[in-house]
Amino acid sequence: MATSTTSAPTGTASQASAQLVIDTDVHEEMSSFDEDILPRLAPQWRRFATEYNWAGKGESIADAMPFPYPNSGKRDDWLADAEETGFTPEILRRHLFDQEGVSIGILNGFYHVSAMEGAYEFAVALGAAYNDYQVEHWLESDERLRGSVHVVAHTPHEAAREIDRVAEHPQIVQVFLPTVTDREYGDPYYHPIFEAAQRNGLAVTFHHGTHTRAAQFGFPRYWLEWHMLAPVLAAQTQLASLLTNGVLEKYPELGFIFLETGVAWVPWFMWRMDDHFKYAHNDVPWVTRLPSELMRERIRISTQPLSDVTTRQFQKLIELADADTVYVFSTDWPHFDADSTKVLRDSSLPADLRQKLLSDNALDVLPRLRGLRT
Amino acid sequence: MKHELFAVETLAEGHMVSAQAGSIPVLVLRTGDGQLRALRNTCPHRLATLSKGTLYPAMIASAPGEYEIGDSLVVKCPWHGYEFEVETGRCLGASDGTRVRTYEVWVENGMVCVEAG
Repeated sequence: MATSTTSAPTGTASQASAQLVIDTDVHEEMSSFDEDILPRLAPQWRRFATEYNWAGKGESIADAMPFPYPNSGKRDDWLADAEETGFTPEILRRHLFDQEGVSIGILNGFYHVSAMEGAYEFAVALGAAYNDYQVEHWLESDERLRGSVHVVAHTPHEAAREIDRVAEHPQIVQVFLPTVTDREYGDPYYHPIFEAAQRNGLAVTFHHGTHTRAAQFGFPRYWLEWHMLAPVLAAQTQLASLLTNGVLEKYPELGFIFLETGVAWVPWFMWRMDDHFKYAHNDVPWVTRLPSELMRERIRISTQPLSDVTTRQFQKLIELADADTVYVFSTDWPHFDADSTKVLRDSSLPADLRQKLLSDNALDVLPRLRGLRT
Repeated sequence: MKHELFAVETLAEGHMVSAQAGSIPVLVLRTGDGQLRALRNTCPHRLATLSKGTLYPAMIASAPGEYEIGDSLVVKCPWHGYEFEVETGRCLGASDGTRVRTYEVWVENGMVCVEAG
């Protein structure tokens, strides 16, 4: 190692000789992940860093989860189609309306301002900006699109004001809430949001995000566990909270939609909730109807992903739980595990059930779409 | 039955294409060292076209957490991501026998040929 003989700046040398100083907190910074870290990784870890839609290339990796599906989690064929332009309204039109034969597409985005931890006033401003962007860039590009009001649940009264503001747009049909896992939405603290949704004729829709923790054991070790469990466990917890806190009875015109949780858990949930309400009704005596009845009327579970059941198995599940009103169709465009309309246009399903799954069940809980009923 | 598909020089190493062997949709690929392989071009899960997916080396592991990039190539389905070994058609991780059919493939007078159907 070379030894420097350069003199220290005036004043520094005498201090240094007089007193040894050890700074125990100095932060070096990378200039570039791709130059500083990537070449030092073995090939398998380079795949994690570059192909798994990993968001940890910056200084903070705390909330970054490698997603072991290439191409940013989008379906490869759709991604190829959008390679030059990105997923624009024009690409959406081509995929959903032209290729899949979808009539009305409800936008849920992926901008979960309710998931911000702290800086709620900033989150409120971000939410309002996103809502305006959604209206101007997406909804006004195509009358077949419908939209959501994105709100910050931590600030329920501001959320209610935002719902009143954005709901003036006729293509807004629902309030969007991420299925966060640090609080239960049935808590009366959040009821102003439901009050505002009901008075504006909107539904309330829930969808998980990468902030959705899996279970009481915290974040699992592998993405597979997270993706299989987190969305459905979080949805079940929030649904149980809405039911036990009497939200459905307090807001009798309000419908709720849970997205992307799969379908097969629903019969079990209905049976187990009904059973608990019968033997522990004194725990929540303000609830006067069985959860399964309320679910058939005003809870909707989106069908995607249907990749883990056959059409016949799905039909059997519906019959077992008398749940033909509970499910609503969704693609999850443009994500890798998106479903096609072909799955539910299967002629082996009874025509009346196809009608319910593809449109009628959604119309039942989305008041602003009821004029579309044929 | 033999089917003549396309000129071999049109398929670069490390790439795959779709072809039609009579009524059978076929995926033909060339490995990094120029070998040809042919598989049925339909995912057995939800019938997606496999050639629209990704061709890359499989991620393998000798023990939990011991990730490695393996030597064998797989085709990853563009829809739900099922992975099929190009040598055997076997779906990785599917001990229930899920697989796609493989076909004998060779070059004859500069043309790629398969035995299918």
